Amino acid sequence: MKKKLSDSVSQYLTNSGISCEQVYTYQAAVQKIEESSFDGVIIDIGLPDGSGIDLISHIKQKKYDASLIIISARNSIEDKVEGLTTGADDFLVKPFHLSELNARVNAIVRRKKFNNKEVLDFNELSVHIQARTVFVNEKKVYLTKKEFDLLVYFISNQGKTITKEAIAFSLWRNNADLAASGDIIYTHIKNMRKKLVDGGCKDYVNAIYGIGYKFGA
Amino acid sequence: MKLLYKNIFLNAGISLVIILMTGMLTYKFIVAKIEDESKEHLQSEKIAVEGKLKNGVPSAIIENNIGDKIKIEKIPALSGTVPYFATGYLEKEKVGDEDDAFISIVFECQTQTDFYKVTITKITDNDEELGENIFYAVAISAAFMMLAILFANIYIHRKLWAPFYQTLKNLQRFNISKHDTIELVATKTEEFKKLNTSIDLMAKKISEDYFSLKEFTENASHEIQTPLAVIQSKIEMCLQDERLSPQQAEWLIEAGQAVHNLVNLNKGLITLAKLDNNQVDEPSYINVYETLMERLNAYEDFIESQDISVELKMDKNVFIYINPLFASVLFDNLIKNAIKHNLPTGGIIKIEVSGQFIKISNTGLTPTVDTNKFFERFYKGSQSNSLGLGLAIVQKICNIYSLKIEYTFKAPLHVITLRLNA
Repeated sequence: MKKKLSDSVSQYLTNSGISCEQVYTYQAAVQKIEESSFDGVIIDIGLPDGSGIDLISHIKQKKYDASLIIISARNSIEDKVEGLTTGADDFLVKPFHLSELNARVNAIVRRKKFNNKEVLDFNELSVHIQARTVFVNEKKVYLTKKEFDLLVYFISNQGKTITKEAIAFSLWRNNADLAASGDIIYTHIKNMRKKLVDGGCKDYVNAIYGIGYKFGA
Repeated sequence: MKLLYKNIFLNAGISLVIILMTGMLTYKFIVAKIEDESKEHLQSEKIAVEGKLKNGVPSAIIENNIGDKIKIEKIPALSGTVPYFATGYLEKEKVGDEDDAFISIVFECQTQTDFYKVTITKITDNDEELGENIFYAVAISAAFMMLAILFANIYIHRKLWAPFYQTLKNLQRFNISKHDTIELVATKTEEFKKLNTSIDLMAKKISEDYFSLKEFTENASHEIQTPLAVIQSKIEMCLQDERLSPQQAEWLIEAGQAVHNLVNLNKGLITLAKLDNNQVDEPSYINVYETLMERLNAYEDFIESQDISVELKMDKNVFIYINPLFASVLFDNLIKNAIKHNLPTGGIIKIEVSGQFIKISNTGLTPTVDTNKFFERFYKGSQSNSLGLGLAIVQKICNIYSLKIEYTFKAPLHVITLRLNA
């Protein structure tokens, strides 16, 4: 079952331009990490021959420079705290949206590579993650916090079909179901689009009726 | 009513009836005995009087008599009446005197020359005094008896039932979720021994079942997450396919929504299971105002989006003793509820906090369903997209921290009140 999940993750990330390798046991993971260097490792806590937490300890001990994301079936605070204190960079509870995982992988890899001074470029758009500012053709556009997060999410998942539920979760986490039922997502996207277009940006947001949105040229 | 009091009342009641009955019986027996004695006495007197009459003058008998009152009448002939006894009361001699009871024997007697009718009357007034005395004796012994019963009962009760009360105390202290075992006191009483062994067996069985069920539920809920994750990810992969027809995409989205519902359901059930199992960290004093404001801020977007006006009337110094995480879940669910079931636009949410209560009201449609069932699991109102677990979770948390929760509808407001001093 977990192999199938791993397949989905691997395919989705590969399609977004991240090259992936999959292993299914603790031992194989230890070996794989020794063989080659990775920017990030996505770890399921429940491995058949060991705990994902131990794997994180192992990676941290050997001082490998890889960002770590935990995937857990448990949504308890204890697990989250344990994972993050052991040295994981992020924690995602099953089931998750692939677009969400993709956005987070992009974020932690960026964070490591650019040392928090990263700029996300997409044609005439340039998004300064740390400063939380957006420029269209070097002209500043003012977005609200939610609109900014939305834009980063879209750019991270460019070219992908993103469901309303995935957007709702990304922006509102625990209150996602409240968001998915109303037109609050639509309102936020509409406002963001308007601000960007008014700022001279091309409209990259394509609504796919009944499904969600796709960001891209 | 306590067992001890029941015991005392029953014992005392039965004893009292028995004492009264014995008292009455004793009295009756003694009175009957005295009557017999009096009759015997009168009979022997009759023989004496008859003897004297045959030998002498009636007036002399009366004059010489110092005992009972004798009345001798001359009659023309014997009427043939058999000697009989009569009882009655003498006329009062002075006002204020008590009536004197008497018994008399009436008989006819024949001398060589004359016929006489003789009445010998004996005052039996002493009987009444006797009755009174018996009554006092009975009453005094009854009172002593009651006292004796009271103390004996208390003493016996304490001594005999001690192991029972100890067991009861231990049972009350027993908390299944804390891996407790019931401590049982050694006793020599057969019944209590049996009771203790039965309780011990039962507790062990319940404990075992409880923990295996808990483990099963937890594992099951978590194991479900992985297959759900697979389904969701595959749906998302499918949606990326350019060849997908709009119809197929719609089906996939519907399947995705069903998965989403399952996920939420599972999440709610896990939370409920946690609450059921009392997996609660140490509670602490939580400032209601701060927590509510913090939660309310998390919903700012939705409140704004639905154009809801929020009216606050909060005492900032109200604290409740509760686990902080559950406080968040509690207020979260209540606020979420107030938004979800509010009018689509332009509604009101009112939040009132005082030392006695926390009141969260919202505008909304008139309930068309049984509002008493709002706090039951899986009870859904007309809004079919909710799972019906939110208020069940709220109710559970309230139960744990003994807060009383009420729902009322006063058009157009739905009001949920948490009473803090329940």
